[in-house]
Amino acid sequence: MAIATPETHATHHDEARMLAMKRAGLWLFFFSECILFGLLLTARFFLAGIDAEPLDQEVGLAITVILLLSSVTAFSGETAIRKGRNAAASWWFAATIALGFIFAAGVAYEWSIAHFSRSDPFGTAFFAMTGTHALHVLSGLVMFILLLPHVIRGRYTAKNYFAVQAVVMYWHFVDVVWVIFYPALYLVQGVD
Amino acid sequence: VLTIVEYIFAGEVDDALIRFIGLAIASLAKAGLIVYYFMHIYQLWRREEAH
Repeated sequence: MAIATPETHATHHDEARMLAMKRAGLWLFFFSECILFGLLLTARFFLAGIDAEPLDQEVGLAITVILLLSSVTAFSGETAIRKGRNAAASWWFAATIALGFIFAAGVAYEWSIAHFSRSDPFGTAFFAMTGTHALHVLSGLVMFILLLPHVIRGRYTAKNYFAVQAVVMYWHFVDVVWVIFYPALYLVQGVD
Repeated sequence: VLTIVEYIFAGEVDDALIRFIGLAIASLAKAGLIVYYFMHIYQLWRREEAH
């Protein structure tokens, strides 16, 4: 039976403090990113008002649902790690990566069929917003791809999984940004 | 579900101002749900605990 000494108690307390600091740092990073995306959103309405060029609504809806689903799979993967089910977590994260690539392909397709130029006011906003967001999606995918081998090898446990939590939270943040961008780009002018 | 509601709302409402306000409320509600339930923002105010 383990005996709690003052030293072990202090170590546990230090670990808890370190974890709280890491979490706070991650949230500060998210808040700083909010400034970037907030500026892009503001620029969109400053440049084009609530007017928008027609976009492919089916593609917009489909990629939004896919990104939301990828958040669910990422969350399920994190939950699996917390319950010590690394094999299940690997599959959930692999599904997240696949859905992320489908989303990125959807954005690329939308760019390829866009009939407006990037020099139009709406085009400037559309390409800047979707381009910046897509870069964040791709960086999230790189993080998941780097994380996956470690998850498969069982490096993370229910007591040590902050790296997993940080990557999954980053993915959710990218999702939150799209949840705001999607209506601002696709829906605000109405759906025919 | 909220995304589908947003999509239908944007198609049915003709008044641009009401559409804008409705979509803004729906998207902020969705973002709030993700931040609370998926990103666990409440952990920032919870007592420290180690993983």
